[in-house]
Amino acid sequence: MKVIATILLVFFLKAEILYSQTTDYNIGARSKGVGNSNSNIADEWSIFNNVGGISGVENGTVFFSYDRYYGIDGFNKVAVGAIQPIKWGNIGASVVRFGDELYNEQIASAAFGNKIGFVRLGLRVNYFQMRIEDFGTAGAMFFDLGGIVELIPKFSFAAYISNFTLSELNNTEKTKLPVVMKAGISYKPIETLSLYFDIYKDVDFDPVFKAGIEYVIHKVYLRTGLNTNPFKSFFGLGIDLGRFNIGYAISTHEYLGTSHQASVSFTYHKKQ
Amino acid sequence: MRNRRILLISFLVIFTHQVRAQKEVTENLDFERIIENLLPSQEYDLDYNDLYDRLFTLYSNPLDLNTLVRADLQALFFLSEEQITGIIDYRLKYGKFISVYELTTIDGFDLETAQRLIPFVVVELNKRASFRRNLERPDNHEVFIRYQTVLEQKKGYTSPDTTSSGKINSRYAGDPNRLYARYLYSKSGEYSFGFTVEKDPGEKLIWDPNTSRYGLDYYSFHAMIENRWIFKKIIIGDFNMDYGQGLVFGSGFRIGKGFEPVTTVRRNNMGLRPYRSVYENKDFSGAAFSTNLKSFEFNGFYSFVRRDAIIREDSYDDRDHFISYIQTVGLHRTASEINAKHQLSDQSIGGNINYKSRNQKLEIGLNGLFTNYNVPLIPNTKKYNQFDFVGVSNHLGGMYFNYHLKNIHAFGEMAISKSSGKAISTGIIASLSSQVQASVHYRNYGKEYHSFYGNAFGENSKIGNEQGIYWGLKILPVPKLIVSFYYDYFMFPWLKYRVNAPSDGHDIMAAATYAYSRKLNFRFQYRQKAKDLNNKIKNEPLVRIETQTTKRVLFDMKYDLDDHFSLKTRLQWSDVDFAGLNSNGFIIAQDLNYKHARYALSARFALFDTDDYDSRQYIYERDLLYVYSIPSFYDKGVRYYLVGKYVVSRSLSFWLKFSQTKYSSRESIGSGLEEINGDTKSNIGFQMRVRI
Repeated sequence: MKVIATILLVFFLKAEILYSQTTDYNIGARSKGVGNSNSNIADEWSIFNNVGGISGVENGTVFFSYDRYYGIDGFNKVAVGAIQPIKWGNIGASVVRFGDELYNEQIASAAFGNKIGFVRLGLRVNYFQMRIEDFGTAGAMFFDLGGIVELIPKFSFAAYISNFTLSELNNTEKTKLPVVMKAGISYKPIETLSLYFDIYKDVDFDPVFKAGIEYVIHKVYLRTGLNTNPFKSFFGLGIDLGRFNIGYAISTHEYLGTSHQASVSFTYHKKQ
Repeated sequence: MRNRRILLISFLVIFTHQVRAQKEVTENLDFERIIENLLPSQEYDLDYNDLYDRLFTLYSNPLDLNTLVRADLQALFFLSEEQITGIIDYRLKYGKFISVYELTTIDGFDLETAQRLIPFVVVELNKRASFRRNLERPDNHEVFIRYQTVLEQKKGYTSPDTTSSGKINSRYAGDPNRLYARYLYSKSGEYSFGFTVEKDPGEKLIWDPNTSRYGLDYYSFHAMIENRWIFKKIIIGDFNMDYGQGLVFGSGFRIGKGFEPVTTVRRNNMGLRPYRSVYENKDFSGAAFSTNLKSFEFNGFYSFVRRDAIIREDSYDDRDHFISYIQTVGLHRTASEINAKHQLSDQSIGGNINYKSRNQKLEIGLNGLFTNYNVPLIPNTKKYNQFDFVGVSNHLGGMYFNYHLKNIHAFGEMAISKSSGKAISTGIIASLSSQVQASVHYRNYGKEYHSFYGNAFGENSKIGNEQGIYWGLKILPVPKLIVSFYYDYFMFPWLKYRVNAPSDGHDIMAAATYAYSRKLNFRFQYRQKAKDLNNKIKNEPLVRIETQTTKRVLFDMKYDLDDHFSLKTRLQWSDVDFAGLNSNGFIIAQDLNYKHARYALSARFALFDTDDYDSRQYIYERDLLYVYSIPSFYDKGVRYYLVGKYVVSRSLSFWLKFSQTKYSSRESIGSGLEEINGDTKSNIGFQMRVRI
């Protein structure tokens, strides 16, 4: 019974949970605080959100994030990752898991990114696995590509493609993995303020407009954002404690309710 | 700093006098520009006269930079938090202002903003004179007389015909002229005395105490003394009150969502003010006072107002006398409108306590209001209005706060009414940098909340049955360019009129204004609004709820040819989608304005073409001074007007307007008693101001 209930839920909430998120996960309280208008953010969370940004990480960092959606058991998301600067750029690895023992998805990824002139570029290789109890397991390889251009002062532009190989699962139905594109612009008039605007398009769904603001006041980050289609509002808080960076975000969906996310990153190695 | 300041001032004080003299002549035109840039110009049938009047009052009674408080500056809407804080801090740091031109040296002020603010402020250097002496020297002592009429005959003015059952159809009692006069004798910060009289079209000049008609139809007066004895203000007559976020006291005026996306979410503690508008549904009439005790301010009032309503009897239900609704339009033209005049009496007692910290950073206050009718209000029960107010009396109370931290202003109010209905309105406005301002606002008005005189931020015209969240953003990325956005999501947890289910919707705006040079300006605006409405389908038992999406685009260009001539071209387009049907509307307007030392002329020619009423076009028009005009047009036709001003002398000015709308293929305009036979409607207006 519980199995059927979970499957039904997953299918009814498909737009929200399954299809649009199967391969493209937005992770990190910073991203969520600004309404996931994250394509121009170059930090450790870029490994999930736009791999083009991972060259923004200057020191070796590990990070962890936990999401809980709409107060429903089993709708949890856990992500861990690490990024290490090396001679030729930054390398990183990450794992994401969504769901519980009845239904779950995992993505394991390896990424590489570098900054050449005013362009940041990154590539990510992923293995996706889906498991439904009593139904079995299916998986596929897929690739992501992203870039951020800092052409003029205060502005940056970004683009990101997830699953440009149009991969399919190795199950009997050959389920297609979603193809997602993001494009965005950011405006940073002063050091303490950033504005982000993104267009997010899953090939099978209407485009989503995302916007967010991040404002820093005494190492405390205040964030807010919104999404259209469906309407979601976001608020977030972050604290910079030197080696530790802690974040929390809350969002409300117009029909489904509230979800929470908490994340922490730790800089383990200071490059001199 | 101090030295530079003195140098600057000595040079500027001389200059100030010249500016004052100039203001006299160009006031109308400059003011039009400010208003036009501020107000939501593409939508709403709301009456903006009250707001217009209020801003104009500010404009003609400038604030003293040395005594004004935050709320005064907030009420101007175009200043950012950074700029307001800048002025307050500057005064704390350097002492009193000596000239308004010091504004240009304050952090966050560019020359343009300073120039925009200067008409609204003064610096009073002289010591305060005695009351008697001040009384002899008013800032304003003027009489306004206005006449407006429609040249074509409306059905209401023809001789009555009979219906098929032999009953005589009603007609208007009076003539089609609108008459208005106003007298004002005031000095800013000292006193204000005035009265307003009006007769609407169709109302009769008659002395008939039985129907509460005493010559003209509408009278309003006020007498206010400020800053005398222990009182901050004493008002006898008609007045308004504004404290908190408008949940309890909101005084009928709201700027709404428009080109200015950030500061309009906030209501300002404007306090008690005399009511001078002709909007007949005034809030309060009686006596009011305001007094300060250290950091506390106390306000109290008693009010007695007669309102329009039809008193009904229902023997079946054993209710002898009751009313089912209050008429708020203030028109008394037909027999039934005349019978309803002043039948309901409304007594109110209200009060407010306001605490303000010494540095003006924190403000906390309490609002309370008790209202009693002479007969119960019992609406005709419908599903959508079943939570509305029923009864003879209502009381409500609210608590509000304002807190300023650096360039951030947090504000909010919570209130509860007799029915236990609750309402909350809260938000943040922040100057995040000198280029970016942002605001977030949250509202949740319970469906049982009843507030007769509240007026808070939101979609519904009255406070209740609404939740919503709003973001506003204004960016100046490069010089001369202003980009603004807002996004408002709203939800109505209970049914509404013409919406038979809980519903939701959104309102989005993106706009840009670009000043290519001092002479050439461009403006662009896109608005999209989606809300749910009933869709009745023939032979279907249930009404379907469908989303109506309205998109509106505006583009205008203003070009000054020289010091006298300026041109303005405006294009507007609308697109409405509802239940699979689509309609479009379009208007193009060309203005030519001419101004000279003593006279000014403004002419427009416009073409409109809309598929239906839903895609109608609202367009701002210049009018007689004090008349705010934003008519809407639908169907196909042309619209043109000519408005002129002539300043005979310092004490005498005239205004004249002629406007005409000609439809391409209509045999009649309007409906009911307002119907005109023919395809043309012409209006004329005349106004005279005498300054004594």
